[in-house]
Amino acid sequence: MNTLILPQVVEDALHRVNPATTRRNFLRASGALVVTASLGTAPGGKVLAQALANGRYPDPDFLQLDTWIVIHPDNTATFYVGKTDGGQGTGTAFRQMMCDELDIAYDQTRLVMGITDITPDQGGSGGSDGVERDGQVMRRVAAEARRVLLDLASERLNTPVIDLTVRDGLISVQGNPSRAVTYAELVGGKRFDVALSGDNVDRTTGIATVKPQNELRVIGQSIPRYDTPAKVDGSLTWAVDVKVPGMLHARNVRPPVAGATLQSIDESSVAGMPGFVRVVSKGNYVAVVCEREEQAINAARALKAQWQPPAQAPFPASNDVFDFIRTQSPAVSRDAETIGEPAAALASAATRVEAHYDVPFQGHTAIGPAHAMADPTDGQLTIYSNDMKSYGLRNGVAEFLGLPREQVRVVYMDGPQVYGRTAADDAGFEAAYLAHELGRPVRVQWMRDEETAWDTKGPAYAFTLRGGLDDQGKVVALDYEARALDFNHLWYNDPNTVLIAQLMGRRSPQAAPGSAEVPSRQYGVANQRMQAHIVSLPLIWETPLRTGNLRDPNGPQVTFAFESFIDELAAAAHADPVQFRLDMIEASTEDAIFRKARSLATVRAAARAYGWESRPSPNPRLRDTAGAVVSGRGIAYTYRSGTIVAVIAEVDVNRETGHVWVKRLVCAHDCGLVVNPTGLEHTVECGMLHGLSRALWEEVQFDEEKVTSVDWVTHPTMRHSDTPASIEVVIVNGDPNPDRPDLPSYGAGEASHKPMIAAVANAVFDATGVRLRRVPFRKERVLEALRSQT
Amino acid sequence: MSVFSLRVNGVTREVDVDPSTPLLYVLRNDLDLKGPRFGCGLAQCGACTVHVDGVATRSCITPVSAVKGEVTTLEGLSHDGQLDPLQQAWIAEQVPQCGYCQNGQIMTAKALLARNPNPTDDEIRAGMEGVLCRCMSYYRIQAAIKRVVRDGGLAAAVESQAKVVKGVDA
Repeated sequence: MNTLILPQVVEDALHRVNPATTRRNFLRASGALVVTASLGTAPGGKVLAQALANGRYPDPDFLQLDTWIVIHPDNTATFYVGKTDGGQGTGTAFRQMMCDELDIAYDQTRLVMGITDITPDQGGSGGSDGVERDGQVMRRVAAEARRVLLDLASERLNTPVIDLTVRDGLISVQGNPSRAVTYAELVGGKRFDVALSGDNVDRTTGIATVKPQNELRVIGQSIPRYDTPAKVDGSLTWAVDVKVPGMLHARNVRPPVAGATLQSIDESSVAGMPGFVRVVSKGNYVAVVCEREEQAINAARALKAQWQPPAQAPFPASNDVFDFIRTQSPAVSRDAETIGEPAAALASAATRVEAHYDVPFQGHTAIGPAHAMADPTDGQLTIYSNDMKSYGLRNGVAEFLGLPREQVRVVYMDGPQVYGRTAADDAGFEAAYLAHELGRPVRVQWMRDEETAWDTKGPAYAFTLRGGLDDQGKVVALDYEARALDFNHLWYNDPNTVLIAQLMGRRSPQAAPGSAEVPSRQYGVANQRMQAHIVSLPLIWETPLRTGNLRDPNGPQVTFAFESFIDELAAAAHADPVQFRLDMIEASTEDAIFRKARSLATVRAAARAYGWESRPSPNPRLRDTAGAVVSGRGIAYTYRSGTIVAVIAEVDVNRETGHVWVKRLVCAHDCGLVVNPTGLEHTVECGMLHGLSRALWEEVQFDEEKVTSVDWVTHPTMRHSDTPASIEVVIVNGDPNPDRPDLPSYGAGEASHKPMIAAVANAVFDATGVRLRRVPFRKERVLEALRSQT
Repeated sequence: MSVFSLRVNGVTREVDVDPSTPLLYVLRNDLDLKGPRFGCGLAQCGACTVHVDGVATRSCITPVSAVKGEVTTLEGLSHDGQLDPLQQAWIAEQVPQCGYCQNGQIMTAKALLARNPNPTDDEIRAGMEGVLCRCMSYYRIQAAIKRVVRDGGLAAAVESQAKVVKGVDA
């Protein structure tokens, strides 16, 4: 059929592009865009390919109000923001925030995100800062639009602004509602022509100030996500669905052994296959291009190529990787953070505890493998992608291909989960390269084995923790040492480090080590030493064990080790794990953004919601428990950025099979001002369950030449049967001053994910008296721990 | 290439493709349907699920030449804009995070409820076991299915179930 059908809101946005000007002209310039009638089967579909190719793609000016907000003649508004939504409903939250400041009904608005030539570059998504940082910019520009509209209305109605009132896009004179003017009557279909100020996009502001929190009406409502209906009736066009006339399909052919060098390709092995167009190769990058998708899949599988394995094994096998980490000299050692006299305090402690923890490489393994479509028509390049940082893809591709930035744009569209994966948009670069080479639109999608083996990985970690208790059971010394396999951490859409660049032999001058981390200063301990090191594997480039950002890139690993160890100290002190933590928080002097009071409130809220019985772990009734299944509860607490989180997990452990079922989860979560409670609740819930999957199942396995986790059998994930029977989320506002308006919003995309592995391990200890120190907790490993520790 | 006549969502369509072509690519690329999508190509994840004569079928491994019955895709569950009760429940429970897998979740749940209109919680878990979600929306999916079992799914926006605690009370 070869039709390009875009989501209505994206179509409408693209229609408003006037390529002749340096900023969006929402008055449709006659003849500037060619829009023909629908040939597609879906209602509302339009052929846009020709129209899309006409223009160049300059950067929208973030210092112009018109770049952000358009008021239409029908008194609706469209918001244009430089963000993306990885599935947490941030798009809905952004709309709510802008509606509140603009004083327009939510249903009267739409939102366009992440299309590089018509939305201002706010960097896309990452670090859960969408609501916390970028949403505040959106509030300020919407407040400025409201101010400008009030000024215009004041003139039109010949009434001072102070005597005007606004509701749902209608400005009226107080006490005389018949004297009124709509936003559309003031600027509908016209430009604001108002300049904003700010030396970077994050500081963009007008003259107006945002509303005080007690005047917010739309923020705080559980408005259903606008993208859900089209996602459940099949009508949404995703990045994976984009087609244009003349489009070809490509599939990659990866080196069979990590670090292998391509010797030769036997093109005759595929040249006669149906639909064959071309084999494209440069360096060690190889792709097969065909007319149809299944033809490309078949041809890529059939292609015969000779590869020379590397002289040295690229990495040790996954079973040996922790020995490797612990015995290698670190490539990078971060400065130790030291408080007090940790060595002396540890030496003189009444009780000393030492433990080792191991977390393997864990992948993104997105449910939908990487994909993108690139269209090079008329010497321009448009990439349709679910890249969470679409602006970075645009800049990276321009540099990679040596094209002027203005000839490249990225149309962000919905896709499978991001969580850092699509910040290094391998498929986007590959589609762009292939389209540029062939001069035709090319769609690329990775295969399952390719995605699971070659996607970016969260770094493996090995930890050693030591702690000392005094004779009262108080922690007097802590020593934390972490080693992360995180050398050459992937940067965002870097044209020197995306996989295609690496395989083509392109290199950045030096590898970028990752950010091996130490725990947050969440507890007050007088004597501490915390240090993290980075260890390199033998193969640095062209490796399937590429590390990148995976949802809170170091947090789940570090918090597993740290909050497990705190639990071990509590057990050594025969203390209740909740009270033990509360005492350590009380001892803390760290109180930026009221973290201390909010942490106390959050831990207490979790314990209260759970119905926590104060007692030490393991459960003293354990010795009386007959039968295979034993139950326990465990807590873990942490913070990420300004968000405080405490998770309590309740588990059933089958002592005969090793099977762990987390049957109940309680999460207390303080992220300041909540924009959409239901949206927050679901994000917190799914963040926990994503952590649960990492706790129970996820591990990238490899032998000495390749990754052997290649599908959902060799790389299992959480399933329906692992789902808890009960999940409770408690939204906490732990501000110690009850009279103050809520604290600002802090990010919520990652916090509940962070303590999850530790909470499960602590619950298993409570149930069994056995400590799990190696992730994931698959039943064979649990059984082994049960047998070796009891 | 061979011409195949397929009955899809109540309409007969002809396609000229290689007989071994997986049904998935015919639906997506020849018939422009967007519900079923590629996840693994191995029948392991369920993202490609369609119904063939009401039976949940993995279209990624089903050759078009093997399709003898009536095919229904996610698009075919709604009629004249009237959503299936399951789709209504999915909206009411605000199930998706990213939503990529939800085609398979909904189509599998539909077939499950057709076989067993009153499944227990354990039967829901067992019946849905083979459909993966990497955003881990499983708890919401199960809630939506239970909603349909309970009250036919009738759509009403779900208010947050979360408790809100002010610090001084905590």
